[in-house]
Amino acid sequence: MVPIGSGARLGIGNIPSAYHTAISTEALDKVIACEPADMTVTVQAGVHIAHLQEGLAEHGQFLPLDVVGAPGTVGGLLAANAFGALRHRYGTARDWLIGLRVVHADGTTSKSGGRVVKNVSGYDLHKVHVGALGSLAIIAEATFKLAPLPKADLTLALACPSGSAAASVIAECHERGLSLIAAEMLSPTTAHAIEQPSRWTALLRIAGGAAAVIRTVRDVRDLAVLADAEIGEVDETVWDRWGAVLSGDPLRLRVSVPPTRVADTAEAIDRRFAGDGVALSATATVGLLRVNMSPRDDARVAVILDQVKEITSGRGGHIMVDAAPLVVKRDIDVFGPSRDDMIIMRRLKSEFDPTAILSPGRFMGRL
Amino acid sequence: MPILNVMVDSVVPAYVVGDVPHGVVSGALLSALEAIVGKTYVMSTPEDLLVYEYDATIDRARPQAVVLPNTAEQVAEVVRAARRFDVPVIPRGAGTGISGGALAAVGGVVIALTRMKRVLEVDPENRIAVVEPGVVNLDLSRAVAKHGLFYAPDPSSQRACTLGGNVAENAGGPHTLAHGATTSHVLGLELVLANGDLVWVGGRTRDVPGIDLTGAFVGSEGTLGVATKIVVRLSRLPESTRTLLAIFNRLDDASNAVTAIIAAGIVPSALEMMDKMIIHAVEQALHCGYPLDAEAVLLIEVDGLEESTAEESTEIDRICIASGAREVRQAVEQAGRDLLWAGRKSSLSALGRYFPNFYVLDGVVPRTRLVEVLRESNAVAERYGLAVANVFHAGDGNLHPNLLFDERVPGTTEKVLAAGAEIMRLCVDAGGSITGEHGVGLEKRDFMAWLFDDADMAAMAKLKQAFGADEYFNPCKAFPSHRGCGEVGHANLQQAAGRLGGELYV
Amino acid sequence: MSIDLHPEAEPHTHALQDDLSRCIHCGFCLQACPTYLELGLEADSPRGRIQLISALAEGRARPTPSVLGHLDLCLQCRACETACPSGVQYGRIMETARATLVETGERPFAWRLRIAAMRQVLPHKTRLRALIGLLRVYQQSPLRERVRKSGILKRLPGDVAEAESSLPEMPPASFAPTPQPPGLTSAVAMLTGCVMPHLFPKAHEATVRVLNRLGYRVVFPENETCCGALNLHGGDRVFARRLARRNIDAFLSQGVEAIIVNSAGCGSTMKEYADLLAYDDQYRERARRFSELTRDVLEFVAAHDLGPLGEVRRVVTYQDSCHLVHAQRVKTAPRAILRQIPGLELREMDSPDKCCGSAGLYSMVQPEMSQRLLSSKMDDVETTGATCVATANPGCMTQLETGLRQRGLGGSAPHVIELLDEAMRATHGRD
Repeated sequence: MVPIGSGARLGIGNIPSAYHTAISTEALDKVIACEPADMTVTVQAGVHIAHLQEGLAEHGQFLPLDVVGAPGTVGGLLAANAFGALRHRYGTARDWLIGLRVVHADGTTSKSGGRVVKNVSGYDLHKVHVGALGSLAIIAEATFKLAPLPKADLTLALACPSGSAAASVIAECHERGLSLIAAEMLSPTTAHAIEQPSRWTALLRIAGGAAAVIRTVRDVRDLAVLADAEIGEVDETVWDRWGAVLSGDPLRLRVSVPPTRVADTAEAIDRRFAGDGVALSATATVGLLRVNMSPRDDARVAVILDQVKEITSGRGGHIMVDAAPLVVKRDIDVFGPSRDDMIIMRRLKSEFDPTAILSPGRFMGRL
Repeated sequence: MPILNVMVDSVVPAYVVGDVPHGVVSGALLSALEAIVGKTYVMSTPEDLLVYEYDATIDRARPQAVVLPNTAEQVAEVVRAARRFDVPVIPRGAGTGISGGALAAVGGVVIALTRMKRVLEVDPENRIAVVEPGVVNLDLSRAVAKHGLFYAPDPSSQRACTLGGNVAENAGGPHTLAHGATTSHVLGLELVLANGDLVWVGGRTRDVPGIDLTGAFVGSEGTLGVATKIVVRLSRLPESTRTLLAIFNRLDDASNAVTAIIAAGIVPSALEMMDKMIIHAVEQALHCGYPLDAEAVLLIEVDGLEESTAEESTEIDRICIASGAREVRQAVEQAGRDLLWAGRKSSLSALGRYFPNFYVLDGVVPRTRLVEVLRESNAVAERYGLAVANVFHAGDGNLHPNLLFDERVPGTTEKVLAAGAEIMRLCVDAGGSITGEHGVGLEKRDFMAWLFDDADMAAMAKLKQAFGADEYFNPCKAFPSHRGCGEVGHANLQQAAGRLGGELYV
Repeated sequence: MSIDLHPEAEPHTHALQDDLSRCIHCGFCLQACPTYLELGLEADSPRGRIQLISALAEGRARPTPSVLGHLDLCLQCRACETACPSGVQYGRIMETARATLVETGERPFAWRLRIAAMRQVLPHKTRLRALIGLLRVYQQSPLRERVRKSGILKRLPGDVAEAESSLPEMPPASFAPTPQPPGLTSAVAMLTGCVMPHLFPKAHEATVRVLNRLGYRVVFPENETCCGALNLHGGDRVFARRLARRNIDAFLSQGVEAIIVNSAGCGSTMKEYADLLAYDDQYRERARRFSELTRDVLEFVAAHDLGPLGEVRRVVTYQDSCHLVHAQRVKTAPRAILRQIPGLELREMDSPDKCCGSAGLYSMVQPEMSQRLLSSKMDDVETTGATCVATANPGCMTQLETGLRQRGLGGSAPHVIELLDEAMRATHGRD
């Protein structure tokens, strides 16, 4: 049994070992409680993110979680632990989820957390369901805390002479505590695909109070001069194009390295896979690279995976495969090699789903 | 017979000299423990154990032995040894917790981690540090200050509490409103599991594949294992910090100001409220210029870019005045800000002048219901004939009523606990929680049923099983007492919980 | 030599239980406690010791050697009082506990010996002088070198070698009042104390000169005696009270504006005479008056306009004397004075208010812990780059001088008042 929201990210994870039933959360589409004064919202799992954000915007608030590509449903976002460029400032779903109700394999339901923004009663059980791809339980209802919508919001693109130049602009912005809510480092191919000059690019979304934004723009302009970068303001739809580009290719990897190794990792990957149509975007401050490619055939994919592994392992990183051709996925664990805490995850799976009926084989270690 | 020639009519635990309530652990276990950490660091005489029978709560429970290991491997060996003898293990930091989390509820071996206080690694560029669990919260911030960094969670006990304890309780503090509690700042943990295995969960970034076991462990109150290394996220010291102090004649005005600030899209780093009782105590102790006829004081802090704090503080000032503040003070420089914080920081000591004891409660309510619950909880205290003072994190709805009393007056402690239970119930009924940052521990385990039904707690128990923890770690904590937990804590507290639950749940 | 330790009939004292009940065991004191920071053991923390004392009081614990060891390892520096949010009077608790253990005959032999020694020496000026004279001879003779080389000290029980090396260098002459300038209209009395006139005559001389300069004649009451601090800390409250009464009689008859003291440890006890004699019907009122009149010299001087000061070109770090900062809560006055001196650069060390390990007789009875604390203190001193460590108490001066000597740093550990005196003299020419 595989839970399904809008189907936006149905392809992620390992290939289920059995897939007899899809259980749709489509009818779970109610906003249960919206408390703008408390800055919390409780929604059912099938509520579409886009719909939710529209409603919240009326109160000048938002759930500061974006995704790459189609936004999908609340349940899907949580189960996939999906995030986009806002990760730079706002973190991931775990940082905003304050309560969760799930349906267990035996049909019972349970909740953890609550509806208040600060709460340490009971285990933070909702944390284990985030990113578990529906392998432990089916997400039914979630409560989030919310953030105020920034008063001013604009995006600047800095076309830089090198990857390291783009990375150091971002690092310096971070160091100065400038008011950025997204800061992506794009490879020339990615920049080109979003209609920017074909150079290493720092794509910065500057948002916050008016004074903070003015100051940040001023500092970023100075940094652009220092980095010998060409700077220009871009329409905010650039982020949609960015998401579309990064969710398009048949091979999509997520590479995680220490933030200080982002620039050289990105440049190494970009050089090595120039012939594979590599497009790359890094959330530099958290050390996360998205690497997309269109390899000519499936045999090439295996080679690519080995080579990326080689590049990243020397830099203390690891790889997750977001998308790959089926024949390749069949032979690998998309989450990478198992770690020593796998034993806890395995027991967690057998405790929550002893008969292995929930998304069997889909999660890490083919749980 | 008492040795010191003094009044001895206070509440004395039932056990006496030479008595270890749960029996002495076997000599074989003691020898095993001594072989691991050395004789100096194993305590087993009644006199040695009695300094580990308390934390910062009212409850007491004496362990059967205390071990102070120096390395993760020693912790693992101690856990294995205790397991061989089927004796539970209770991890303990500085013992500053306020929910009874570090107490040996049913005896067992306390592992005190105070010797493991090394900062193992600071990586300023990647903004992480790897520390041992005994590192004191504020010491970490001091150690990384030279890099322009700090560790954001700042519980009031930060000068004394350890990071291991912070992890166990998911500790908060005044600045969690904008910066988040401990869970937002811990990336990875080295754990000793019940079988003595050393296992890493999480890592040096958030993007570790698999389930967020780090997130599940933080706040588990020592019931899943012992954290022996902690990877924490460090934060950049802000360019500018501004502190405002707003004085209100009416509680409602102060509360409206809180709501209005949030509604204006400002997320201050701290938003604290002090009530009339605190204002009086603080003013008389410190003469910091709080008008005695004021009903509430808000202490608000914003940090970030210079331009941003200037803009936000101007806006906050305007909102406070519009909400009816009679005066708003503001400071940017450290000395001036310290002055504004002085009243908040010494509020408890100021109360100490009037009452020898206080009991801090930790309830959470939706921000919009703050004033209502505050009034009701004051009424509860009044009904029990207790003084109450409120100083709390208004920004996130985290109430801290302080019940003031003198434990030497017979029957008072019982009254305090009963009043505390009623106030907790008020928070739950307002849609809140029984704890925002102190943990459930021993103190509030029987209130858990107000928030969670059997199915909820059964699901949580599965996490315990997944860690293989069973009841080996910190038994009888965080979840309702069951058979085997014995008569720990105050019987009347459990009665109060039962009675309230019964009346209000029907 | 007879040892008179029979408890005398004493008036009632503060109920220990009242003091103990204020502790809510929050643990805020832990990181303020030097011995806890060194050992990480709860029993060697203020909270732990309070629990041990409570347990003794409630009959839940026996005064085993281990329990008494923990009580004995306490420096009584009272840093925990500064850290305490509940206002627990830790110093008083420890004093009462030690005194009660002594008075009820539960004290160990070592305590008795110490008490006897203190009774026999400190208040007796002639005996003290004789002892000091002997030390002087020893230190100036070739005997010392030979004793040190022979290694005989290392073979003696206890840490005699350590104690020997921590003995202060005896100045050639003791303090003796000299004629003061005429025309001084106001008068203050000054406690010269037991060992201070012999060990630190310069500090006394500086104190008198500074007070003169500010317009005060300094009176030295005939019958003054040791303040009783060491007796009190060691558990001999009975004798401390006796000394207190004698001092009260000696000083209150002088009709002075203030009673000045330049030893922080003495000052703190003198300010607590009111407490010590709170149940003594005959002395209660006068003790209160005495305590009200008592001022640490730095506290007193800082409240005055110091007038023009000359240059003292020196890099100085200031070590808070525990009994000044924690017991008397005087923290800013010494710094304010130092900052007013032209040419003097004050560099704060890390944890300036953490005990240096001197703590009265502590450096002699707990040499190992004392040395550990001194060593960590000297690390902090070295980091500042200052070689002049100013402080406000004779014990601290001795200890810090030992520390400077051990590290081979040169430099000195003067009393703050000496630096001020130097600055005053630098404007007015030598006198």
